[in-house]
Amino acid sequence: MPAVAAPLTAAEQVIAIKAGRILPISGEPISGGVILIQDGKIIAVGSEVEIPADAEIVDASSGVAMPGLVDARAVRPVRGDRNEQSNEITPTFHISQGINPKSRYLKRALQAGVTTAYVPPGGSNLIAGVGVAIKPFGKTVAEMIVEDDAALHITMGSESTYGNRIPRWNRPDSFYYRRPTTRMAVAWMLRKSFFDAQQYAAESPEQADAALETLTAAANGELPLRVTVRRAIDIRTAFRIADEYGLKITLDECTEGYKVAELIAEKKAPVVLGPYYYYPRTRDQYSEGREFNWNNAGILARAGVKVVLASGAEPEMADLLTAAMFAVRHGMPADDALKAITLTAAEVIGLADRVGSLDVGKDADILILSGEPLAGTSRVRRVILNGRTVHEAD
Amino acid sequence: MKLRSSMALLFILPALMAPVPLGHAGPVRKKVAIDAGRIITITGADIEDGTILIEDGIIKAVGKDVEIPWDAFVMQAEGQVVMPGFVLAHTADGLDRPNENVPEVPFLSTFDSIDPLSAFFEDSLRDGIAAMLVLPGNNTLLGGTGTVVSPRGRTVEDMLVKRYVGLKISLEPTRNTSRMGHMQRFRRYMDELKEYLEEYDRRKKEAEKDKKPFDEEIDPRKQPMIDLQDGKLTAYIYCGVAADVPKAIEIVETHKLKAVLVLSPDCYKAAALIAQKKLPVVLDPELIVWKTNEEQNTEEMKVVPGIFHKAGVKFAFQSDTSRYGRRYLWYQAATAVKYGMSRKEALKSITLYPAQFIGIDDRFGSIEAGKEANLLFLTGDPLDAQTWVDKVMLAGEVVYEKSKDQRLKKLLEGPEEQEESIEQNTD
Amino acid sequence: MKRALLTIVAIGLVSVPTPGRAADAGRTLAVRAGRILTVSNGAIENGVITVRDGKIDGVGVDLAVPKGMETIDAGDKVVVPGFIDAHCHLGLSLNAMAEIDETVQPVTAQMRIIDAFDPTADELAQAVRAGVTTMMLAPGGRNPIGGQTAVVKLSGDRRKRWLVKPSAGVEMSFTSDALMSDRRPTSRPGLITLVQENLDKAAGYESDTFAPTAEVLSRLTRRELPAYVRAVAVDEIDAALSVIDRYELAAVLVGAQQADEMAEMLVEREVAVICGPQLLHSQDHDLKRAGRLAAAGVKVAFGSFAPRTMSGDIRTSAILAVRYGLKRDEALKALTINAAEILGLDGRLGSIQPGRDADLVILDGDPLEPASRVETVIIDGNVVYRREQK
Repeated sequence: MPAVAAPLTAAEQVIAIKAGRILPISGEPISGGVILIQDGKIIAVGSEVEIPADAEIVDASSGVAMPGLVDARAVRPVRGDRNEQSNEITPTFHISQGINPKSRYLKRALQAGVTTAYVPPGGSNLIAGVGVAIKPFGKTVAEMIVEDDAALHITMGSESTYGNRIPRWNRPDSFYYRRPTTRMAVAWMLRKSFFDAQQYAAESPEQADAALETLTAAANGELPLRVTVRRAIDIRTAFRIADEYGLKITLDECTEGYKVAELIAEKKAPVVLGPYYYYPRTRDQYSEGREFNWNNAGILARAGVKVVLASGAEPEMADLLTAAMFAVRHGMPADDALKAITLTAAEVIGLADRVGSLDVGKDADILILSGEPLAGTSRVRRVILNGRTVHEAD
Repeated sequence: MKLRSSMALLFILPALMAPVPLGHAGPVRKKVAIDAGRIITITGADIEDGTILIEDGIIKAVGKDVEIPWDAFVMQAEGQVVMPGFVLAHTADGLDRPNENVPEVPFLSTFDSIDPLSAFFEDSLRDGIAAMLVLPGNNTLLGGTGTVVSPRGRTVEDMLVKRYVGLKISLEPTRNTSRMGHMQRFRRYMDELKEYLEEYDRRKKEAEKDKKPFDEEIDPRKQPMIDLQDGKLTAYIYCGVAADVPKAIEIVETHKLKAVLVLSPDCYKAAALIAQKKLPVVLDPELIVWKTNEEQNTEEMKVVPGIFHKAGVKFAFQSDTSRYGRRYLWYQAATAVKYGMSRKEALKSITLYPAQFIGIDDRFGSIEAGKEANLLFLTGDPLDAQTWVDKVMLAGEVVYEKSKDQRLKKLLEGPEEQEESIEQNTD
Repeated sequence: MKRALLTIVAIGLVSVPTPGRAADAGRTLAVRAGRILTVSNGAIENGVITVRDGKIDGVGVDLAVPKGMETIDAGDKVVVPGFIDAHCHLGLSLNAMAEIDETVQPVTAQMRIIDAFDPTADELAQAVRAGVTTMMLAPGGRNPIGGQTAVVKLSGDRRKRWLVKPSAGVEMSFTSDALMSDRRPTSRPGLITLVQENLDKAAGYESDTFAPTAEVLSRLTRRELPAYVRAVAVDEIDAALSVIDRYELAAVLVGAQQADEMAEMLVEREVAVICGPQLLHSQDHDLKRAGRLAAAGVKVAFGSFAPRTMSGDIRTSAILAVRYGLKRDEALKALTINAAEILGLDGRLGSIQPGRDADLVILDGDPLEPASRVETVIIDGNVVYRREQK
């Protein structure tokens, strides 16, 4: 997409935020400190920071300042189908072309403190395409994009088989008359895709094939690979295929990750959890036979896995702070939980150099809360994005 | 040797025979004293390092310097917070089916439909609900009467707190009916009831006049609606949209009913009207409503409890076990406090007020002498998300202990820890 | 004998044809009116327009009218150029629902809407009665590339004088109407990919092969044909512009309800907008958009999308838009010269000046007043409609 409109920038003027407490995330909390912002970037953070005479002061001395939240899996702000269903394997599908910049979910997420949102393609396709990292503020998608083609997405488990039944409505000419309809086929098609990519890379033909180029980039680690898995058997299969083709993967959703926490830690695969299933009842399983554990995040974190908490397809566009709060309740260490919605999330989406903590040189994406982030009674009072206040609660 | 082992058996046998399911965790003692780090009485100030005296399941005294009788069993809860068990003023969960196909069935009772083994009750006990009014669902015009139960025991009789409480009326039209048709149906029912009663009186008077015996009974299917009109039952009227609220008020005023309104999220728009009529209200589990302004391109957050609180309406919260966060009544209260409600009022809205609405505040809803000992032992402040319910005491008996909650362990522990605990339990 | 012949010939020259039965290609006549809104050269009070062989010969106050020339005296009335409905589906032989979307295939550039047009259809009369003299017929929006549009006049005569452009441009759609669950594309990214694939293929088209779709699209990429692109919301317009930029198409946006929010981007690219019908039941904030768009410098015309919508006609759209902020002179331009420029026909249509087609509408008041009525409609100098006087 052509970036025609100018990206968001703040004025030349320095803005000084005086906060009661600063949580940089990348370091120790600071009591009664100051953050200086200029041109949309953080230029100073600390307790002994000198405020320039002409600086604009933001008085948050009764509040807590922390980095803007990073939602590593925000599926909502898309218009229409999140997959191009006419084909099961669509590596060159760009979800950035489907984003609705006026989506009400972006506005709600912003008010809940999300300043960077990563939008993946849908899960109906086996190889679904590439996702995009955006900042949820702006008129056009081009203004919002931080990084397009950010990662390639694969869906394991049964979601990619939905609709593929032979024959569908007795119409063999329907494009749903195709594989995969079983897990075997899912694994086979994945292997075939990466095998084809290997062949392509080895032969290097003159006619460039965009799809195979994308797969090759994912195979040799240039393009991050994210695999949506739910059940433990799918996690094991994902690692098996990853080992065969030398792939480095990140696991999305990972509902039964707690069952194989050590395996995931051993493979050094980060995990993006979300949404949070509590229904139908404490006892039951639900679709795909997933068994969930409330302390999935805690068990994984304690095993040494990098855990990210994201909103996923949560019906009311989950408040990430609430998600972190409950993760701690169920057993996740508090520091890990805070990182899971800021710095670790930024790392997983490849933007840790720009967002996720309050450090000099990073984007001035800052939240002012009325209290500690993991307290259920704290509110988001102000959201600063690229150095500008984009939301202020009354 | 033999004697010793048989003596040992004497001690072990009772322990083996005593069932340890979730609902019964300890024997009932005549006198119990609880030493608590903090006591939240709800009706009075919080008490630091206080004591609660209980006799025969009833609270005898609560305070800082309460003398403990020599024969009382002392429960140490020094690091804990003790408060009244939560009360849920309206739910349709825990039923076989919440709605009937036929619209006018006020004679049905949820007593006949409650499933004690439903996970809803297990979850409720775990989450600190001491009593709930189970009413029919929102898709029947005259759904039937409700039952107040505590989430303990294997049969409805074990669970029973109070029968024949509340009559559910829903203003949400069913299937293909319109709101016009739905209201008209209600009015016709009430007209027919009036005619029936007039007919009945006429026949009765005739019999008296003719000095003939009159042993005709009122049709039992009509009795609940008659009791409603006589004020013996409270109407629980569900409003699906804000426009239903004036209709509910019309019903209440026309038939002079005692009523509690059960609201959908949209009904925040009618807060001023409800305040004017001084009607008590049960809020939908959804406490945040987003309003889209297409012209300005904005999303505005409406916080429902804040709106009602500002308008001066007395309300109770509902929970929703299908969503994280909202499944807990304390979370609902914490959300209200987050957006400006006072802590005291928020805590009342999950204890005293719902108890008052459903008419069990003589037993539930606060820690006061004379009320039943329905208490929660919490690991910390009730509105803190890191706090867990450690024990639940109902009528002086400890019926839930987190340390013995196997299901919760399974939900929180990883596979290795579970293997360990299985080993421990089979020793 | 000679005299009788002369008389017959004279009568033939002078007789006024009854509505709908114009026999000649273009008439010669004069129109006298209280107010002539030329659009190109301002307003003329108490002026005269002379028409020769269906073309405007002269316009002015002190114009000499040849003796014996048939004159229409519209004494205190207003004359404007015939309105141009820039986008509609009227006059199709079966019905608009069935005729305009060939959805079996997503790309049907080779289809031409003119093949479904019946110039004698009754429903064209309703447009004429509203003062519309020319319309652009278009395929529907359920295909990403739907087919070729056509420009026709509503004179209905049998000698095909009504056909202005059988292939005026290519209709494209970036709206969710073009997405389907059982045919490509199911998603917008998929739609963009599909359109780009087809335009890429067209670049490699060679004229000796039989590839009708590629042939049409190659004319599109060489800017020999304009693209009429449907898009409603900001992100759809954005997607359309990305493709327009990439292939450097000569494009016009159709519908484009939220285009006012993207006005700078449109002005930069000189992309005009054919606004959809402004309806009485539309939201207030939506009715303000046409005015904002014009104020930002975007060229705006109106399309009725009839009979698919509940719009009366483009004149009603213009009146509503004026009510909600569109300037009156902009509104009149939108109905006339802007539409002509958008359709590449401003040399023939859209204004009252010498050389232009004599497509004129006489109203009993200001055309942008709802109470004003269309009295007479003239196409190519022929009177095709006269309001019945009771």
